Amino acid sequence: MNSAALQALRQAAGPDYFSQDAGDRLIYAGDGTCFRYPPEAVVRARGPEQISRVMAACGKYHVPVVPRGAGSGLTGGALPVAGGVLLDMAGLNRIKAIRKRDQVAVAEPGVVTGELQAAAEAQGLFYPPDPASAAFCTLGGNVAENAGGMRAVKYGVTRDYVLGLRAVLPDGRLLKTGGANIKSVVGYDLTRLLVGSEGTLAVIYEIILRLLPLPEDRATINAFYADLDKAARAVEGLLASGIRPVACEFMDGYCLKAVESYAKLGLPPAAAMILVDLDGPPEVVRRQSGQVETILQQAGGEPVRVAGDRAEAEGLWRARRAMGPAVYQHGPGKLNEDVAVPLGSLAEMVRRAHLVGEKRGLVIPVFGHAGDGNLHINVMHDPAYPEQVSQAHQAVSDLFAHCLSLGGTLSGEHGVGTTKLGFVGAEMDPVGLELMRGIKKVFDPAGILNPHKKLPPPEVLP
Amino acid sequence: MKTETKDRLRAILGEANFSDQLIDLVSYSSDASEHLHRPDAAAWPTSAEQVQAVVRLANEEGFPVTARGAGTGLSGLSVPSRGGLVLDLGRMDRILDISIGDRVAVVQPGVVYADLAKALEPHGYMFPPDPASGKACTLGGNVGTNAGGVKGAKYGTTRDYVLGLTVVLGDGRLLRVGNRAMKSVSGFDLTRLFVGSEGVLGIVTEIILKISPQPLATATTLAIFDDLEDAGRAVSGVMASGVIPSVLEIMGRETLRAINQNTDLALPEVDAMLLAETDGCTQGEADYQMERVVEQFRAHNPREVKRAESAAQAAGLWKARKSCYPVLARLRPNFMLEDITVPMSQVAPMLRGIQDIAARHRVQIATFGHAGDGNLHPQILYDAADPAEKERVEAAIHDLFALAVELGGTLTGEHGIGLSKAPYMDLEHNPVAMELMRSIKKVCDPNNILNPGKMGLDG
Repeated sequence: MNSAALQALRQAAGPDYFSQDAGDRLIYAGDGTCFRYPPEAVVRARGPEQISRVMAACGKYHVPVVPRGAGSGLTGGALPVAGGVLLDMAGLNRIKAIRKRDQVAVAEPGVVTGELQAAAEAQGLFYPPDPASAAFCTLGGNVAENAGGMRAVKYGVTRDYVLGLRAVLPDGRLLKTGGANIKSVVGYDLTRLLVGSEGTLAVIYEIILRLLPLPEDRATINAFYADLDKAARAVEGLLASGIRPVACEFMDGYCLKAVESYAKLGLPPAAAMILVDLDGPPEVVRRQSGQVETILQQAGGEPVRVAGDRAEAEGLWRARRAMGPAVYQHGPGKLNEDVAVPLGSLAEMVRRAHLVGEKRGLVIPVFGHAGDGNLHINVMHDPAYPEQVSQAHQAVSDLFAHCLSLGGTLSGEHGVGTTKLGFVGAEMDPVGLELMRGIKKVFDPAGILNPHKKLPPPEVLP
Repeated sequence: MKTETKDRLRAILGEANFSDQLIDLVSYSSDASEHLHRPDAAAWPTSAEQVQAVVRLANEEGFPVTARGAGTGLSGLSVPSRGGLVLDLGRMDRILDISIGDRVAVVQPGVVYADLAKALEPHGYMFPPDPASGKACTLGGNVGTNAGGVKGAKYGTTRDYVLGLTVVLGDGRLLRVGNRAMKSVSGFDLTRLFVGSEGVLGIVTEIILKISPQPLATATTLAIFDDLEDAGRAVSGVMASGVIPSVLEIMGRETLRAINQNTDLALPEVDAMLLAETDGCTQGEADYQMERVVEQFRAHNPREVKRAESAAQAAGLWKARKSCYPVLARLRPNFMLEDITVPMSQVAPMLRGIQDIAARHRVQIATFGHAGDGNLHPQILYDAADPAEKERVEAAIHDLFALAVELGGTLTGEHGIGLSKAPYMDLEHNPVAMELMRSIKKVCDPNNILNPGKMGLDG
């Protein structure tokens, strides 16, 4: 970036919102991946007019802009891989309104997801999307990634709650999509085109979200299985029962072993654990949890436990929540994949992941959201041994090939970012990719907004 | 259309799948809206390859192609307003796969909604949107309009169930988007860009739908209110109660009167009737939820609240609700069915506003709709032969849209823009959004071959 560009940016952002400080550049160099790319300058977003001025200045000098929420993304969406400006959205963190009678919230993108959940709850309302990072990730990041989470089986993902958006286009113009209506078919669905676009189409500065009434009661049930097939049958039986569980989580034997050695919870030795959460009016939850207990037992669950109260429920959830840190019991390095497969192929995908591990001489623990076929596959290795690193990367290629052959998708909720760019061409129809590039050009003809993300350039296509 | 062009179309489609006979052209000049325009020819493709070849020829020769399902659309979506070829997808009507293990159904666009419902029933599954025209409308049309229905409040609309599509683009290329996985974020959401795009971006030739287990038990209740606003407040109360009813419908006085004239249900002709259904895996669960709904009804001055005693009684009530549109259509020579949606708190003010507008312009407006998601259907009844009345109707419609937008609402919740609402697009969209949509249309259909003149996006 030359000095004229820097000068123009400083002026567009306002001097208090602009920094070239080495410390700031270092802080904003990374995200939830292991990669680091320091930006050339950092701008803290202040509001639409300022963002619009910044975008116009960046357009004029062909400076890349990368919007960033909390930097908790796992695929490099917020990495300034081409340098330029890092646009920190975290300061736009006001919940502008919670309209109880409309069951709608209006929030800025920097609001932490957990804070919106709490604010909604205080009014007897409920914001269902619940990514594992809810305590620190932001709504803007959730929208950009179409974040999922533990409650997706019953409640869906972020996309299902975004009713409208206000955004700045890369040329600085302001765009308004949608509103506070549950249904609308006026024009193309630009709202959902922006959801999950990973900050490559527009900078979102305001979000209108649908809320639901807060469920009055919850129940938690878990079950252990001696083999994978039984666990798969349990999931199948549960989903076919007509009960819509909030969560239906799965952990394999490697995960259970890791958690036991990390957290000493006294888990029984097993090949799989299923964890089910229910919610609703107390009477409904009571009836359903009895049904779920029976279904899990009939599939061969041993033992099956129903939490008697919230404290016991938290106890049952502890194994699942410990998974993040516990998985490192199997090795200091992790390649974390996020495939989703058709529901009928869940057990097969887990089995194939284990076989890939055997073939590559690595441990590959699998856990995830069984209820929607979204599996988190962790290729554990020791980065100190180049041979293991190379085997781990080959294992990831193997896993993607298996996932696609089962009719699945490379990413259920983490996004493409930079880490999956090389594999997108294998999943996506070439015509689809061309169309996506065409749409990117419509929004961002100069290609300055979060470049080299989401869509692979034509030359790297297989 | 030139004779040689017709010959080439015959060669692509086969003699039996092409017609330029007057009887066919007249049949395909309308849908369920008031719009009319005759096509130059009609075709019944039987494969995606045929659709591709037709669209390529259309690009070469420059004639419009308008895809059509059952023609039940209410906004003129499938009226070939610039002539050219109507492509009736009704012969692509195979259910290709039903996988209970994966919870998906793969279908061709010409499958009738009710035929899929019938095929899913023995498995205990359903495709929930349930549009009122389900007996006739096709799944391709449902995708084209993002069709909703009575179950929207709990189960969402078509968009929420489309996992993947095969589409012929405006330049004839074939595109596959999405897959059988329940979640995917590996590209831009093209699937949902095509859902609701009214056949102007591409022609859908295959659909992967998510299916759901059927609820095993339901409970049905009706409540009648002397005051419209009490009914509106009861709706808000129910939706905030923590129970999400599978159905919550409203019918206004004019609608009730029309139903009475055509059935022996003898409904009370009051300001508003609400009809609610709850569902669950057990009767106890459905009943428990219904008790909570009834509490809310009782808290808002109903004249009467009545549980359906039997399945037959409930079926009668649903028949009444589904008959609203046809029985109203019979009252006067002409009608326009609107499809306004407002934020949940604005249902009562919107209902009141509709009554005021009807009085102010001296027009007859009957209202019914999906109160649970704020989607109201004011049906305006008139005689098009009376120019003075027609003028009043147009003024009333303008006021209806203006009021909806003023209340933070939207012009159409489920019927689409088509021709009817094209002039009003910029009430809701700023010029930036309009320009983006026009450019996206160009990316998918560079020569404006597909369903031109719709959605107000091509001038």
